[in-house]
Amino acid sequence: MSEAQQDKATTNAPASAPTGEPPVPKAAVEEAKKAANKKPEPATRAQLVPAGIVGAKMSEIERAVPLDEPPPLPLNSELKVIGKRVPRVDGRLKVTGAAKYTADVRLPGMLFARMVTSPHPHARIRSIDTSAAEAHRQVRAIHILDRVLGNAELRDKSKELPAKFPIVRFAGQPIAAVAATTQAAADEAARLVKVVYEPLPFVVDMDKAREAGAPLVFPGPADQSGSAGGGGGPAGVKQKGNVRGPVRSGPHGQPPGDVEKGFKEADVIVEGEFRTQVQTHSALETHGVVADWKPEGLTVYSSTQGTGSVRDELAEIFKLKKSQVRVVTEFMGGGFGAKFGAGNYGALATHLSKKAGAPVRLMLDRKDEHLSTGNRPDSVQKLRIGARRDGTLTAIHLQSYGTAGTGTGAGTAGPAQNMYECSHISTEESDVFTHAGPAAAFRAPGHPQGCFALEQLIDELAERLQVDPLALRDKIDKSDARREERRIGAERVNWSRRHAPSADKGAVKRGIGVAQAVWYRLINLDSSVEVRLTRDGSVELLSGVQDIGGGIRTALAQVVAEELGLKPTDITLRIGDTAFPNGPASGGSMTTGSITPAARNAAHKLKLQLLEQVAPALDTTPDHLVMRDGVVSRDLPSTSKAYKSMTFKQAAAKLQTEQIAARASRNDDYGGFVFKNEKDAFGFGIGTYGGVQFVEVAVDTETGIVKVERVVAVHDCGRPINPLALESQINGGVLQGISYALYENRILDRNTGKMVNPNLEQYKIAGSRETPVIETILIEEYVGRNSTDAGGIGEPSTIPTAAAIANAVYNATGVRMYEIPMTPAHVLAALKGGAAKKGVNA
Amino acid sequence: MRAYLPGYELVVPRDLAEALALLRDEPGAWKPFAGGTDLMVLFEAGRLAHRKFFSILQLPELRGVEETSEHVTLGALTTYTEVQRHATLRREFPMLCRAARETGGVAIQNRGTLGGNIANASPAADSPPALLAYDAQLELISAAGSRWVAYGDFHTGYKQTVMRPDELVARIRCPRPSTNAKQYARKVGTRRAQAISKICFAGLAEMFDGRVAEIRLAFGSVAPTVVRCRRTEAVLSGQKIDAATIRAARSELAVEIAPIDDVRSTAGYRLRVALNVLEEFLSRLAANE
Repeated sequence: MSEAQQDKATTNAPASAPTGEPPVPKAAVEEAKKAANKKPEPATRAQLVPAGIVGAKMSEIERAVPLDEPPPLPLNSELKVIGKRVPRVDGRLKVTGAAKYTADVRLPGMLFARMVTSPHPHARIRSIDTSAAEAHRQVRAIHILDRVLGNAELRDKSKELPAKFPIVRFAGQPIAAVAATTQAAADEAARLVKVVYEPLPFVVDMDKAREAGAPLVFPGPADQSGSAGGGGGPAGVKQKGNVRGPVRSGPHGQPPGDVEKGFKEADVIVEGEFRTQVQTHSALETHGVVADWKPEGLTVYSSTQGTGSVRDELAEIFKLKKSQVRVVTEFMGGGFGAKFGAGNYGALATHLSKKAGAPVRLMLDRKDEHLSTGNRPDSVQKLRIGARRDGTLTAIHLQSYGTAGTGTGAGTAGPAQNMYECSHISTEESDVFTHAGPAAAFRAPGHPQGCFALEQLIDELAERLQVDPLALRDKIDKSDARREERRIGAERVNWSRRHAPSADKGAVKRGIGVAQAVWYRLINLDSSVEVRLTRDGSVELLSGVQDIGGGIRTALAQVVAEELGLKPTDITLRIGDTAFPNGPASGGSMTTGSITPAARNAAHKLKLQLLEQVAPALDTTPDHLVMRDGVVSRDLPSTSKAYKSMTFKQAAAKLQTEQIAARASRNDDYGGFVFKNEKDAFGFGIGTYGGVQFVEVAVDTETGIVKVERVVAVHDCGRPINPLALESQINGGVLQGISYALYENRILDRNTGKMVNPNLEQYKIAGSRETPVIETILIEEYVGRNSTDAGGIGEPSTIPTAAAIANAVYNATGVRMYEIPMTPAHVLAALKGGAAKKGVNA
Repeated sequence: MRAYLPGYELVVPRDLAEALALLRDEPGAWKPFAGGTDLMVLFEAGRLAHRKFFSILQLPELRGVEETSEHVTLGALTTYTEVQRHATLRREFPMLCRAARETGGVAIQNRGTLGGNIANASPAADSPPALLAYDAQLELISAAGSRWVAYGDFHTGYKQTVMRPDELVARIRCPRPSTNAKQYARKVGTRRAQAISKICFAGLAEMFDGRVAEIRLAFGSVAPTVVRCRRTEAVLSGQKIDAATIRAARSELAVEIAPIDDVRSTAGYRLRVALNVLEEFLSRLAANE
């Protein structure tokens, strides 16, 4: 999801769900009512749907649903395919290498491209001489960018001297690109492009950028569009120097409460300053496209999280009709939020293809990837929490600064605003511009940072109040799901054996910690599916939605198979192509929740069409027929032989036409959204969800090395569609969280403004030897929102990990880590009561 | 950005004599290419300045492990994987095997060679501290003949060695340690695999009658070259190991090594951890572990 959407998520309240969550903020309810009043009420009927947590508290609630809505699905335990551990339908293709990713696309006459990027962090470009590159015999086209995507832009352009070429605002900023007949020739020719720079003063360190007199990234207020490119904080925020903000808000996004009053009511106040680093997305597959410009239109093979958003952006840049742009993403090797837009590389490849009259492949290398395609902003957070002696929170005050480089959206207030019940919450979030690559949305924007601070301080509060950290959370956290997750996790990890801080005697000290996540039920209504049945009994699903690795291809197969009484492997999946019905961009953990109801509703409509046609042959009416285990029959026990039945294939053979098809789009949630923009397709469902993680660590006090030995991750995401894929994604979230907590760190040289470790050799990511035992437990929580009631897990699974590790390190050593990554040097220095040097991977 | 491949030259000599002739006829013009595990990193980053290479990986004269009652001699092309799989090395040279296991990942271990690790002369390499502690000797060969040098005298400065431009490392000879010798190796890296060390230590000692009869201490990543810490060894030699000697050894080591700040660690961290690791080794000796 983009940071702009994120902002909505955190500044507009999730309202109370049947399972009990933060109270409904009045503003949001008014908003929702207003929005609802504008539209004519659709015809609805009342339907009972399951609600609650399986194994804890289940009930049924009444929801108003559209008249043609399918009947509610029963609990997973009563289903044949949904909720079962289904191996990925495309797993074999992937492990055999048969799956074709963007980099594997080879078109006849395809050229290879390389970007020319700036070595300077801040400069005006005096001239660009491409003559030597043009003279290279293998070069076919050169293009110079006239607009850089991703950077924020001045609100008032007249604040800056006009420039022939875009101002360079970070080292690695794309300037031009060259296309040639081989990659080696393109690389060589890119080096022949002579750019003359006038270097300007720069600042890459956030603390320095905040100082008065620091070199300015923008000579006036600037905004980053929260468009398809991802990223982007709220627009129109006040700015002084490089500091943009603060954006102030309060409990669950309302105006700030009276925190001063809250702190006066407190018996205990805890506070701390927490710092987090910049993390780069580092997806296995780098950004890249193959662009094929033809007179009749443009086809782009792109490694993207949003086929639709790339199409829209390219259509805008090249002034094409959207119908003239086709974007294809058949397989995709990860994005984590950085791959929503066309990107500078996409625009460049398209320009080159247009000029050369040939397809152009432009894949970024790892260095470009680190420098120019996005990152998670760093943060410095001053957090203060007040509580009564019984644990009741009276005040939460957060002041945070973060740099999104030349972009915006470094806020961290989501957890502080939305995790716990507290009447006086005030958050002040500021972005700080620096001469560094723009941030992009990154797996739960702001939340791992915010949790790192909040969850440590909640632990500290528990210690001050002399209560167990879990007991305190039971008191102040109104989420029934997290309550159940704490109970299950504590039992699995054997929480009762947790000792007092620093109780181990030897050099290696062990500890257990806990932290929890909060995330939002985000929906993209731009989610459509077509399901087709052909007379030979074959079933196809078509949607523009792309599988970015989470496994939506398999989940869609399951949903359709369940509805039609088939097996997932019976369904042919055609996705990741804008030639098909529009799919949602995959971000904000909203793919599953957005597209699976559309898939089920389409399959249901198709089923009704089929039953209508075959019912006479079975001497009955459609409403008496069911489809189960590949058979169409009366809804009676299978032992009953009194009625006719036929196989699915026989039924299909009776179709009057060669093919029937049904299409459905995502409807509003049952009962509407808490918040819905009129302008776009995004909706915010009722309530929040979370997840709780328990971590066991061993800290070597001689070397400062922290080893994560075990993680117990207990999560909820509505109805689990495919527990196997969900577990994989939770494993990934936990690993990325460990990597964030202990290893990853983008280091910029403050003297040159360049990244010191723009590779995977010195930008360390946790490897297989750092992988602990990860135990994942999924609870089934039903909320009754739509025809599948499913949600995503990508984001919640990485939010609490770093905080849980920090709490475990505290339990092991008695020393609190206020900064990540917790490198050996930081840990050793903290153990000695000092601080390690900044900016080294020590 | 990856360097421009057509800008490089790689020739494959038929035999060792042809390779040495190449070095003799154009000294400095040609550089050997063995496993390529360092050179290819530079190539990929566009920082491989030298352009002319000759492959030595195919030369059988530089392969194989020989054993006598006194020594084990390894061909320079012995890979890390071969080191780990060799029965005698596993039994008698555990520090070398450990270094081989902790160097890079499996692919690097299959390809990278011991001779390359030595000749590349990085102060952060993993096998050199072990080789220093084993008192290894190196055979350097050229068209003019062969000579043996003590490994302890091999490195003369940052990436500088006693090798002449016409020489190759041919073999590495290690005296077989006494069965009484205590060996202790420790690599501290950013993560547990595929990470260049922050510091790397190898220590070998023999105790006699409760006193240090023989001790060799070697570190990587604490100075411009891998180093034998002879002054610290001198402080310990002939001594009983107790709190006072450990303190004295720590003080000596603190002035004997000169770690720096770099992208992998800080001088302060390296110094502190080097001292902690030395103390850990000495405590184990004292406890006869």
